[in-house]
Amino acid sequence: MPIQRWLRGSAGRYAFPLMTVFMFYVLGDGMEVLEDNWLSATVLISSAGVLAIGPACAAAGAWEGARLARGGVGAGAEVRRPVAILGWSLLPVLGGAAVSLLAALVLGAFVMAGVPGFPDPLVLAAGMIVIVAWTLAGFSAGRFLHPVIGVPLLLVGTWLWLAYPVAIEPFWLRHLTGNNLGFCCETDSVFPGHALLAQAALAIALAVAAFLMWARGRTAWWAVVCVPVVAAGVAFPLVRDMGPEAQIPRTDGLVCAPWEGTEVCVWRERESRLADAARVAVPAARRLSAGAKVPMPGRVTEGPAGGGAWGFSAPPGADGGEIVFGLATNLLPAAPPACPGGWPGAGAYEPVSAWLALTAGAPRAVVSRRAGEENVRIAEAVLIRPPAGQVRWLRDNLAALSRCDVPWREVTSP
Amino acid sequence: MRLWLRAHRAARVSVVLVVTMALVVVVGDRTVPLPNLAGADPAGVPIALVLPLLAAAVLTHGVQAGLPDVEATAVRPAGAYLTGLVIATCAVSASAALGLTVAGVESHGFAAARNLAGFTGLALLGGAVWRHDAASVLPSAYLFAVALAGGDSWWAWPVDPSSAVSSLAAALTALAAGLATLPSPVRSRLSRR
Repeated sequence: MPIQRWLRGSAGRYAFPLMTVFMFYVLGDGMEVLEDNWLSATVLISSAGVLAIGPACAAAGAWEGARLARGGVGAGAEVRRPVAILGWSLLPVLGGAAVSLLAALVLGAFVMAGVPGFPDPLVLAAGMIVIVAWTLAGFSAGRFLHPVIGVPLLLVGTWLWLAYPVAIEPFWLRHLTGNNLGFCCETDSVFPGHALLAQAALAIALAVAAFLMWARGRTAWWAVVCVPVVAAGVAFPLVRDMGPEAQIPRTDGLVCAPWEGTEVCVWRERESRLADAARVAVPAARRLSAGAKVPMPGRVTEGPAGGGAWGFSAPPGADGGEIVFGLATNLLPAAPPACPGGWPGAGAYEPVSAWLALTAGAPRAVVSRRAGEENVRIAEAVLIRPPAGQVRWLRDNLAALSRCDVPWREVTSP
Repeated sequence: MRLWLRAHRAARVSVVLVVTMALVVVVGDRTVPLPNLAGADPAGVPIALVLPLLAAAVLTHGVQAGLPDVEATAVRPAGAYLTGLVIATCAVSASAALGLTVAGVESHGFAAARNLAGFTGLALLGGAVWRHDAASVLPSAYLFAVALAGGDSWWAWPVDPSSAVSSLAAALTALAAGLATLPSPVRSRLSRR
């Protein structure tokens, strides 16, 4: 195989620099606002890769497919299997895509230096399957379309499919493309595996249909119709109920240690902060337990709370006051009630937050910044009351925050 | 003439032009998210400004079809026919788009017609300078480069609104440059004498 001639004749030679520049352009400032976990970096890289490399590979595939069609490769006596011909033709294009992704991962490794963990292999695999599928789709289209038409059609068509669903409803559509919005996930959440499965199913179906169409010509029209329809039937139920963002609460990956009789758990990426977080969170929980007259939790955790466990968060950069504020406000109801005729308890949210945080020992400046100065004054007015009155005020307002028929009580109430 | 129209895919060009105009009316004002350096318009690029790239590709393919060697020695003014095909297509789209924009049906209508002219010019230019079968690479690359770079200068004409006069001038200049690469209608007429 004359390697130089093989590479020189490939569209990958032109597509590679364009897709690489486009990908790093799409990555852009996203690298500077990553969460302290590898999943967020992997999703960003995969997303930028799919959005930038996918259309470029599809267009290059259309060029390669047309080149082989023009050369009459399919019409001659068969000495190589179709998959071998396809593979050698697309190898430079897909090789360029792999090098681009690898370069992005190397950049990601520099940005994520010090964060434990590795790139998420499933997210990367789904992204690569999507890129290969669109490359094959372009290659197949190239057999039937002149490159003057095929190249822009695949470039624009693939780009529209990958980028446009993000801007429209229904939301489930955006979770099928493989673009993945460029963002997921905070450290307390993970990418839903069923969405990756749906993307992979659709992409594999596209690849199979494209290959059959290229290898067998128009006689394989049934594949173009049936295979994607079946795949859509598999993929749709997997993403049907998803909202605008693709992230679900994380349940595993906690590192725990006992601290003064209470178990303290943080995400494994924050293991180095465990002792500092426990030193702040456990005394705060004890003060809050005493002030609010609620049992001391057996566990203070960044993971799922409830059932004797209180939630808190110790992200990088958060000081002790912010950790305490987060711990205290985790006692509030997670979601407001659905009140058809208005919610009379809405006003309790900030004053109760301030009271809980001050009771837990958060600095006044932090509470004022997070809850507002006016609400800090309300909380301080409650704090000078007898403990029983404070607890009654707290319980009444917690009821107001979780029900539609209970108005919130201001400090002036008895 | 009928054979010439058939050889240059005039029917396909007409159908694609009508479909493009219909799509511009239906979904033209929807925008596709795309990051850009200027950061001025996070909403992205209106679809109406992108769709003409495909119509321009089909028109360019139509222009390139046929038998150039035979047409070069033809008695009939084949060069004038080609120029006429491009100008007529752009003129029809401009008339319809101007109507859409003035009537308030689609504010990007005239910009779409402008882009059809500009993209066609770039494609003809790219085909003549580089290679015929890669003609549409130049307008495709230019569209994405400009969309990514952002800005509202004259060179960003593919993503400018309908009212930008300098963008219209830039697109028409691109069209004129592309038409200049076609066989000269004047030379064809002279060669018949």
